[in-house]
Amino acid sequence: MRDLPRNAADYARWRVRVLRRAVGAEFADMNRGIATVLRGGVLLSVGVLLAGLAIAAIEGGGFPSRVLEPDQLLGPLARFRPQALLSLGALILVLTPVVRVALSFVGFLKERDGTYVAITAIVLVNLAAAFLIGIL
Amino acid sequence: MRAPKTLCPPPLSCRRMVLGVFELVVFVLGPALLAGLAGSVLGVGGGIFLVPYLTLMPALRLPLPQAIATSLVGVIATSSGAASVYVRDRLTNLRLGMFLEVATTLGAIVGALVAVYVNPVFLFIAFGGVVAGAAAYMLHTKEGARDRAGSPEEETGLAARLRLSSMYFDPEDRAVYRYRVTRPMAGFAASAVAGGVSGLLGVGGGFIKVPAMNVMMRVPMKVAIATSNFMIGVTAAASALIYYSRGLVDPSVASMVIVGVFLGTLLGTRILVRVPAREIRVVFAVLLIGVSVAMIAKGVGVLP
Repeated sequence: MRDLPRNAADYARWRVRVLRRAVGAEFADMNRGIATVLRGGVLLSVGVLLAGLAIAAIEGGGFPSRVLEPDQLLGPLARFRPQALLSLGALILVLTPVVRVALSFVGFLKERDGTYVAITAIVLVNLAAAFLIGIL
Repeated sequence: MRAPKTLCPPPLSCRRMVLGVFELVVFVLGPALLAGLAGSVLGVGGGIFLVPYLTLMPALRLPLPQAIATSLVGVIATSSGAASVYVRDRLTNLRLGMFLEVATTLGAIVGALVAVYVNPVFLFIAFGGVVAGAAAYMLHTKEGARDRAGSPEEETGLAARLRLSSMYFDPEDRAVYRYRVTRPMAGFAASAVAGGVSGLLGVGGGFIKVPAMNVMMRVPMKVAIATSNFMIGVTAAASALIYYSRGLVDPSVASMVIVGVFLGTLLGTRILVRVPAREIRVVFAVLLIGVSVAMIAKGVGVLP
């Protein structure tokens, strides 16, 4: 108790910090990983989309209204075609939650939490099914 | 893989207006920011505002299937942006979220498949109906002590096996609250419906999950909002994968929507911790009633 706060405002701040830490300690580090993946995915997607929009605006050929399919992305992407960049950006965003679920799966696996490994696996199977239904 | 013909029967066209930089910024970016702000404060993905806006706005008039697909991508951005903050702050109940996601993703796949093959007129009317129901429900729900503190009884059965009960830190009154989760299967069923509505109509489905978790499962309101937000991303991703590969995502409008809702969400997550639950509900309900009327009017051809 060496840094016990002196006045009321300090005490309030100190109490918030201590309580936050107490709640935080109850949870595994999975939270931090998930928060990073979600934030990173959105930021990456926004970056790619802005690049696509900027190139489309500079080239002046109008803004594309349809996405490219994933297997058609590679060639146009290498040439920085706006439609390919915009499609990739949207795809990154759609896949961000999928990566988050995969990360939770690994997390529960590490915790040896059989029930939640199974639950997360079912969610992953559902997402894979959605992807397959989409391309069929 | 082209969009099936059933998507755009006359008189509903599949083409949107030609958009320039000015139109994209003024008519998409700005409103998307507001949708993201409202969405993250209310615990919904923002899609419930985006879909009607994208279809009804005279300067845009996006065809409904494209509006749904584009909104779903925006919904993922709102959800991920807000969820990253709530997860970091430990408001989200990860176990509860994962458990209910089994139901929401299944529902989302079914919903998206129905939406891809059904006449858009049906979608407009379904949208209006669902939104009206959500508004009525939010007005009806009474505020109780359970909004914050959990139920006192012991955790039983499935809830105990799934270890759903948890605790959270509420910055509003700087205290830690423990809560017990009840009736997991009732919440599971409600989540399946929410997922179906999400995939069918391009909304997050938070307006079904938040009350379901709060009232049926006795999850505190703020945890319910954070956990719903967390689930919405995966739910929307399941149906968005189907819409994307059917070529229904408009990447230019979507990118502006994503940037807008992302910025709006950044603002919104800072507000949630300070807004009392009752005010959230009233704002929610009033907006939804207007949205419902407009969508039904458009569906039956009263609105252009």
